[in-house]
Amino acid sequence: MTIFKNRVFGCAIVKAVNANYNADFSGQPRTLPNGVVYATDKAFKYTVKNFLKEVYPENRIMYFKSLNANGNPISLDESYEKHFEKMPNKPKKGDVAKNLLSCLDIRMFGATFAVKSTNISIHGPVQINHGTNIWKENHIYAEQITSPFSNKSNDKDAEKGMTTIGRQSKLEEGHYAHHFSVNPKNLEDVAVVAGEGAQGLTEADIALLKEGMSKGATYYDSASKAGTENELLLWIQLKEDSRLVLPNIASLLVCEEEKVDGKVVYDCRKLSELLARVSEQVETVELRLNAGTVACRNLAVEGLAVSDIVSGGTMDAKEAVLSEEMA
Amino acid sequence: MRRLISFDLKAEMGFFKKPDINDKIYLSYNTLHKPALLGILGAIAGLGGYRGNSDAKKARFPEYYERLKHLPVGVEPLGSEKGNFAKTNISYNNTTGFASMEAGGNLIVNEQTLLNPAFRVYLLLDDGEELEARLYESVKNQWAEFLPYMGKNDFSVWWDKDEVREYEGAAPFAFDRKFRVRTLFRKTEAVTPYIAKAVAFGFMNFEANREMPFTYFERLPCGFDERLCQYEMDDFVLSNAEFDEQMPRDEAHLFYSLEPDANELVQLC
Repeated sequence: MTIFKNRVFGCAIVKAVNANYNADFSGQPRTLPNGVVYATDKAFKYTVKNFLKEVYPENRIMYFKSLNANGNPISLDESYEKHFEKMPNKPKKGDVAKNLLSCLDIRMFGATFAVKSTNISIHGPVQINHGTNIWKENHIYAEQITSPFSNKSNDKDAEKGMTTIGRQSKLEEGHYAHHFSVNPKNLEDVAVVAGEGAQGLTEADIALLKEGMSKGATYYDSASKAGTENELLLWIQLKEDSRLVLPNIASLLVCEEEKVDGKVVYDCRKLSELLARVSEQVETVELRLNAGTVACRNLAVEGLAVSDIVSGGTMDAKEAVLSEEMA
Repeated sequence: MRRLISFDLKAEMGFFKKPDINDKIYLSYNTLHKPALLGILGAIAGLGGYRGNSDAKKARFPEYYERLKHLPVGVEPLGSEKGNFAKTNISYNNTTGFASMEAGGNLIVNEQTLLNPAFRVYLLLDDGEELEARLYESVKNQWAEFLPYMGKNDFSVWWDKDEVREYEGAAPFAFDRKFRVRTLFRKTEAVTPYIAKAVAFGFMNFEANREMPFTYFERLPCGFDERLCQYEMDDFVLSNAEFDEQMPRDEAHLFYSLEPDANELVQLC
């Protein structure tokens, strides 16, 4: 297995149309004080982990809610026992670390493993930022819904003539842009503790990560998240020895106010300027998009690899990039 | 040779946890403070962090702190509202059941989060020290060994190498004239009586676009009490006002003027 050693920066865009991608505790889509909706990194990571767990069950995913026989969530100790063995009273740190690194989600996103007998913290190579809506509007609406049942009050014999009314909130349209980075160096520390034979982040893991980041949200269909889809994944992979820090990629994409042929258009001029300045340190730039709903403008990058998320097929870069305004 | 440089750290959000409270809501300092800044510098230089993974029994400080705590640094908030950054509360649900012994297995965390925090960071680096020379190279080239973040790893930090500045004419200030301080600085006693009158009564020499003077106070960590493993705190001031040269000050921490005859200072703690 080839170990993945390159640093990566990128942006993942999740579209929500009449959906609630990430709600706050009042059930509304999360909003910043200026009214712009946003989603936490957790919401995005959940879609990735859920996708990998369901579609590639041969991979171990540990940091995911699972229930015991009574329908209650299990604890960290119980989860360790479920995947590996009963936690010994005096476990060897290296053995625990090695076990943890055999989980795909921990190799990607890290873990805080704190149980009574030991304590391991793994700084994940893949770091995802909160995603803010870059679409021009933030229209949240609430709708009344009825339940098929009535709520009996305390008096058991009193019948009610109506069923119960509830409400749900959704976002009319939003395009959440999450910045992310991958820095394989983050695992070096724990690899030493885990010793020989510990798994590192491999090329195969990265292929799964890209797939999860471009399909996970579309794959996850709950009542509130139907209408939430992966729209775009931009992957900027630096050369192996590069230590460059790039700015927030999500902030370099400008969502145009008008759609073209029903497609939302991202103006990538600022991104192209940045990539031109650092081109000697960039190994590859890959763009995966839903070609039916998205187009880019002013994306001038040499050797850009483009593919369609839906069909999986590669595309000519010219097809994905609107060309009339190219300088 | 010692050189004074600055670079501009930016992030979409930030969180610098206050240790005062660990229940219901987690509060954040408003400003990047020295212990947090040293962590960012340590990430840039590739120094080790908190080694929760080592079996060492006795409390040890992270490598970055041990090796950089002597470094004189100054912090100037950028784009803030008179020193204050907009904040929002973010609530998270942790339903994995791994985080706590909550009934029902669900832990709810509320976190006060800074919006668009940005800081100009001043460093006084000694070229003769290998580590500081390496730090200088990395900052100048926009390199980092580990990717730094604004207090929490969901909030990545970046800077632009075109905005790295070097102040060749910087020199310790002699306090022979009135001055302004761009960075936060430590106060020893009340500073407002020393605000130069010309600014306090701005209407006397009216200028159309004169900024209204403000003073912003915050009690911030400035280091660690190494015996108790707790933050050491100090009172800091940020102000755009002009101060009299008699202002009492903490002699241990130098004020530098950015240019030989200028009255714009930074304090390096």
